[in-house]
Amino acid sequence: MGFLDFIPFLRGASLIWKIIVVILLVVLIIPILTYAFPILKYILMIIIGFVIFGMVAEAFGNTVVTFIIVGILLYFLLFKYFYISTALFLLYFFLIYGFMSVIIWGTARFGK
Amino acid sequence: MNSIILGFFEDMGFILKLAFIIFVVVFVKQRITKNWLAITAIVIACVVLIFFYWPIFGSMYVLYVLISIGIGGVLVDTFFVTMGEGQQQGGSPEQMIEQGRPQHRQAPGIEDIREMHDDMDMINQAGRRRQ
Repeated sequence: MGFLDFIPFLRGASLIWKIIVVILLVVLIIPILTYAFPILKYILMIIIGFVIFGMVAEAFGNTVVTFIIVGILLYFLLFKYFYISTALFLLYFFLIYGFMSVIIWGTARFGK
Repeated sequence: MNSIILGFFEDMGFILKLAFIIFVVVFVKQRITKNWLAITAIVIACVVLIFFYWPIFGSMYVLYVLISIGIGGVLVDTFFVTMGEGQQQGGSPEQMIEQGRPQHRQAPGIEDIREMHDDMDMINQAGRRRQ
């Protein structure tokens, strides 16, 4: 019995579907937590803002162009599409730190 | 509904173009140290790649970003753990490794030895009856 068998359409489903569902559930944790605890939204805004500023400042230095581009990116990523961008940022951090392998192998080991 | 989805894709395309400009600037600055030459190269690269060949270089840039953040490892892991799932034989990597090993004959157990003794007794009894 796998730990995902409580979901009806995953009972007896292929392992690849289970992996996709687990990744989606893990990635959606941050938007769900943000929706539950609104204070988390501002903390995440600060963290993502610093990450974006670091990326842009590497290219343009401490100039006006940096602030203009950071402003445009922050408007789109933090104000217009906050939930999508936080989910994508979590996915990005999981990918660059190699945490996706843990999810995939864990699902394969315990999800059957 | 369609306008929302189209607007979302337009915004994502715009963000992607900004990210591409940042990538080009960092890429050129790391390689060309002369300031005027670097700025010229950046302007030419951005204009040519974004305004003329964006469908090609945009998709190549997305692929480059995905590979550089390690999507290849995720695909390898996924395909490795789902490798033997469609077959009747076991699906987990451990089972596949076990199946790949040559099957050695098992050592006889206590039941086999008892059966052998019974067979020997029957043969001996048959021999005595003949005598």
